[in-house]
Amino acid sequence: MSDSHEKYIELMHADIDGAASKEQMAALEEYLATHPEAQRARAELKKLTEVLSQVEPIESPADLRKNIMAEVRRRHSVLDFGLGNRRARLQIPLIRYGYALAAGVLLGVVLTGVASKSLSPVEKSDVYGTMMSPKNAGHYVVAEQMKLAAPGLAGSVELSRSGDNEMIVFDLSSGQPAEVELRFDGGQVGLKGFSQEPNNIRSFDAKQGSISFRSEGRQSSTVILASDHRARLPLNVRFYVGGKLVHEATVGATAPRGSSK
Amino acid sequence: MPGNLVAVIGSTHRRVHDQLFFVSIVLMNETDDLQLIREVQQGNGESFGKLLAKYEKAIFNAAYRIIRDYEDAKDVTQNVFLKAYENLGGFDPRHRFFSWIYRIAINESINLCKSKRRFEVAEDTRVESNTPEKLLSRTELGRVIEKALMSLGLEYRVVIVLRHFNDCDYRELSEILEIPEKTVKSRLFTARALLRDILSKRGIL
Repeated sequence: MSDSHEKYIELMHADIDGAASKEQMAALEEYLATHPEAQRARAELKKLTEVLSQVEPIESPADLRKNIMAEVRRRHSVLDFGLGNRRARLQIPLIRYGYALAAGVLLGVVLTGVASKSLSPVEKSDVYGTMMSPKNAGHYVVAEQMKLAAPGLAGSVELSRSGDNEMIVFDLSSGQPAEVELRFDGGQVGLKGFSQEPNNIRSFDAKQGSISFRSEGRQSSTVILASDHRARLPLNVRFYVGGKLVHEATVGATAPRGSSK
Repeated sequence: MPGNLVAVIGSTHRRVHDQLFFVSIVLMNETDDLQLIREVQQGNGESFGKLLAKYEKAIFNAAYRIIRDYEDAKDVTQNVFLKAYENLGGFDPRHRFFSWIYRIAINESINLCKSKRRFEVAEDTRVESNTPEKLLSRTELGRVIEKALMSLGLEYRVVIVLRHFNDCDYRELSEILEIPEKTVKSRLFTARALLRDILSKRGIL
């Protein structure tokens, strides 16, 4: 097959793909007029295209979109989207950790028997990571409040309780990112939910007995813990700014204690 | 046979509608996608639902044509969108979301095919007496085409699917597959020649 013929074969494909110019089309027609084998090739190509165009698109499963969005919502509270690409790439390991966290939370829920209980709508949504705004969690009763005024960090910490659940809301304001570490007895208390407002979780880490997260600017962070048999355990909270411990406090004990460092 | 006639008209109408649907995706203003992506990046998970609504059917169809298994195509489509959601924070706005999500879909589909070795389906070389006139329905024609597609190597199957069923042009194919346009054309032309031979042997062409 000559190079010239190859060139016209390419033009035939360009023609059916709508990518041939007027000049190319004219050259092709001129070539076809004197080359019957090329006419046959073109007819076959057109026939193939025609047959393929008769194949009908198939309907996607009716529940597909719903299932995907349900999973998206489930993951939403632990996923992180940065404002810039560089930053976002750095956050990918956190996203991966989010899945481990979600799986851990669910496993924890099953192991502690929380799932077998009759959960209120708010509590159910907590389990699946789509926490309702704490403002709407009316059945939580405020147990303790603490003002925070440390170098580079201000705000408040509020502990509320509902049944076996403890909700700790950190309303913080800081000039530079603040790291918060919450320690507790992992044998009796497990993580049930975490969310931040604005909803752009910068960093989140959870291990048995400790949770840490980052708070930037003015941010409200909510942690919900599920305790075993309504155990009232003290929670140790540490605040770091620029890598330095600026405040340490204990909440959840009978007599709240807080001390600035 | 008025019933059949209605069915044919309905079927044709649906096909034209579906094809217009795919074309509309290609032509869709990319700034719409970018706006939705920004909203998702800012924490609005529901905006992702709009991206999903735009691309779900096209992605599912592409996956199905490559894999030829309804349930697997469903799983792949779900994985594609969840991966897209996970990685949307790292989406480079200089690229088109359309190409990006298709690339994920193609890679997912290829990986699944490789894991299941679907690409090793032996080519049926028997000469069949089917003709377009003898085919009872478009659905049956679809099945014959699907079978023929599965006889193609994956790289050829993918370009046929994207070009003919998802209406991607050379540039889009190049972006999705991350290969030069020249390679796209060469692969597409070879794929068509192979498919033409297979369909000829099966009496379709």
